[in-house]
Amino acid sequence: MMILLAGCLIFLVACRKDYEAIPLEKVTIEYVFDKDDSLGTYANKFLNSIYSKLPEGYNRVGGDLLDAASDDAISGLSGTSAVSQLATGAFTSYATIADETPWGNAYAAIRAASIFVSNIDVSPVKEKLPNGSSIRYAWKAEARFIRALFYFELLKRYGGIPLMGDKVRELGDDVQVPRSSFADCVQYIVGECDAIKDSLRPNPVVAPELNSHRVTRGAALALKARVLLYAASPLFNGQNIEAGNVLTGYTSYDKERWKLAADAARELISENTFALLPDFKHIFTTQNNSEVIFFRQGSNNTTIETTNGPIGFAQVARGRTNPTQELIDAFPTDAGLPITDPLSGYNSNDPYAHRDPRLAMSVLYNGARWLNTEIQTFQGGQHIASGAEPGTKTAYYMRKFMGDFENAVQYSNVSRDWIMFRYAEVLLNFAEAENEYSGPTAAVYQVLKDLRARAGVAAGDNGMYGLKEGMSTAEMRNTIRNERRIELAFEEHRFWDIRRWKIAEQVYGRPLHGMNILKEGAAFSYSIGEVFKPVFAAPRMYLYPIPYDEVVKNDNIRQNPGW
Amino acid sequence: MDVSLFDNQLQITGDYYRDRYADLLQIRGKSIALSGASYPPENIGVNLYYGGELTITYQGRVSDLNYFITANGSIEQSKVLFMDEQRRDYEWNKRTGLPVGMRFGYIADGFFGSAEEAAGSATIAGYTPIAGDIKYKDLNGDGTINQFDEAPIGSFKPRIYYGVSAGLSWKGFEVSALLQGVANRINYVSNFTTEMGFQFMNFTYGQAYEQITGRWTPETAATATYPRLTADANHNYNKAGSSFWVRNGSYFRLKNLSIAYNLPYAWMHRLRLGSVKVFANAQNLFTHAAYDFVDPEVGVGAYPIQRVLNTGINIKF
Repeated sequence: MMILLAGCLIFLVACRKDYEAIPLEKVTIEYVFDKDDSLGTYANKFLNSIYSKLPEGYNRVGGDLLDAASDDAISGLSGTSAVSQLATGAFTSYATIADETPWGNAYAAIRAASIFVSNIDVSPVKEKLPNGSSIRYAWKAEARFIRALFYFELLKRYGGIPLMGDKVRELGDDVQVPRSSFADCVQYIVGECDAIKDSLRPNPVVAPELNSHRVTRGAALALKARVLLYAASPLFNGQNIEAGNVLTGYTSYDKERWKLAADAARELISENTFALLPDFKHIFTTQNNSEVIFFRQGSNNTTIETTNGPIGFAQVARGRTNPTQELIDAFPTDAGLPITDPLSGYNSNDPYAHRDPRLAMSVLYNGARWLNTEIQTFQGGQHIASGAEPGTKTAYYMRKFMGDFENAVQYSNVSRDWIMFRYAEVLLNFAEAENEYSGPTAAVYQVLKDLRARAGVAAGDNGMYGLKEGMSTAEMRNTIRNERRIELAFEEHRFWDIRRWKIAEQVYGRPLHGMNILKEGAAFSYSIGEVFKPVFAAPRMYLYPIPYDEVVKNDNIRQNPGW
Repeated sequence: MDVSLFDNQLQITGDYYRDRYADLLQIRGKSIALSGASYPPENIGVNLYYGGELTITYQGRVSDLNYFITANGSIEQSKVLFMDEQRRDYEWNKRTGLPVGMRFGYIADGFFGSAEEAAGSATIAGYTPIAGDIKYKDLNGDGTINQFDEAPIGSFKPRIYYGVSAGLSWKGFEVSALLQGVANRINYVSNFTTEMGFQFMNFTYGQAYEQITGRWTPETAATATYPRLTADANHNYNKAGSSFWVRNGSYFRLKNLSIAYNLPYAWMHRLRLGSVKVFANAQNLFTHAAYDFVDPEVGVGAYPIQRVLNTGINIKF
């Protein structure tokens, strides 16, 4: 009897039609873009998750900076590291360097941004920007910026890439999208930047403690300037690695592209919303300063110091980034003259005295002050590698990005945002493009003077900060390239610059050098020795190979030439 | 099919199957990263399993002697019919059409006799082999050993299981035995604790097993069966998945043998007992395996199957 009753009950309950087909607590897209939520909470969280996909910078390539694969630095690791593989070409399309293959991650971020852009209009977000329009227009523009930024990350590595548009692909859709031409990709990214710049928050941001990490108008303009500069550079504009291949660059040279780049940079400069921070050392450790345009938020920590700081202290550090002698030699003296100039006052027996102040702020050398003592990177010194312990192979350590620990005994937490766009770069972009288009005009000279004045270089009797007057376009080009190298050292620019200028064959064709210092009594003797032999297989290594699996699965994708 | 002949003295049972499994859960081949999302498993795989089983039993009786013998065997083979495999540039890389779960690896081709020979041959990127390391075949001739040189190293032959069970009883004696075995089986030996030894403390400490005495040395190069011993971090080269570590896993085993004697009824009756039986029995008495450094049924890492010998008296009141 009881069994019969229980059976009937089970039968009745089991026949209900409104049982839970999907778990009720599962957050589906109707919750994320809720048409009844005027705060747009889930939508805002989704946008924050898109921000978190931005690349992290600093020691992101197998524990080393990306610039440790350029001629600016080498890895302090003994044996093979990811950057040494990059620098010697020890990768193929099926055995890529994992940290420098953003293909999958970039498209995942692009998808997230496209989902956001397609669905955010449903949310009736009431909060308003200072100019009166709903904040969701700013959100939408921010997602579009991040999407454009990821497309640019792919573009500079691979050339033309598949553009996915606003459509979010579902399981049955055809995903075999072919690669778009380089020109189309540049046009798309620049078009996105132009379309969103008026919807974004203007600079300076209201309530910076809440919103400084967000994409602003300045960021969109800075991205546009950088993309156009890269598009006008020799690798893509005129010296295509495979003539006639629309995927790897433009098929012919056009000087007007330099004008577009100069105009884009000028557009941001003329808005006067950013200024060079007077103190070079603190650009990276001071939050919300006047020079930062866009950054990826990071926590306050001592990671950079403990990963890249000198070994041999009680405070343990690993010395991963070893700047090369080539980078050190690029810094002029404090009169602004290159060290090869006989009038510069450079003394090869005391090479670190009277140098451009940025040298001391970017690099730790023998005799520099750090953690309450002087660095000893001479042979047998306290802070140099011996035996198996990683340290410095070049007698230099990186100092940029670190806090003020000259007189401290221990590292303490430092604000650690990864700055992706800063005003100094936009100025250099303008100078480079303007020089290529119009030659060394007064505006170009002014940029260099401003950067050197900020750095602390002496103005000199003629107010030229050591710059030669009446330079030709070629001389100015070399000066600008050198200034870019020392100003933006370790900020993931040099690696791309030597490729887009097509000088990688020369730069990687020579071995890299470090300094051997011997202490003789109270004096030091300096000699230069080889530390690393890069390998560059031109022209194919100017672009990365598309990952092998992607080429096999997608019948419409063409691999880059030579891979 | 079941057949019974000669007044139930001979019984034959046979079975043949050809099973096609479809809708197996697999991630599709065109799982392209451009969509930005990870692909779920879908019902697209198709496998084929086919084989047969045969059992023959004969029971007989000759005056007081009763006996029976049973032999059974089964054979099975499988094939991957569809797994949405994408274009493979080389024939030997293809997985479709091979037995399900076929193992892939490099083809091993002896040892390097000298450092010069090693320098002149193709090698895995990032490693320089020296004399005594395993030489791998460069199937596509591109100078490096990588995923394009992986070929099937498992067995293509169908797996065969067989067994024989026999027994007889005569005037109170009972004897029975069970033998089982497997043929055409591969044992892939990847436990380097037994195959290479010295795996602890930076590869300088630990037990070595007897098969390692066949390691390569310059003097014994012609007859070496194992690669050179090494105490450094570059040991991964010899541990790569390859045909070198494939062993014959066939074996047969006398699983059970038992002898018993029931004391005559006449004695029992006088002693007023039900029955008394004296027995001796052995499990896993004898094993023959082609590769017998580890228990062939269990493999490495688990406790081997024990040989058990039992004797006793069974008294019923």
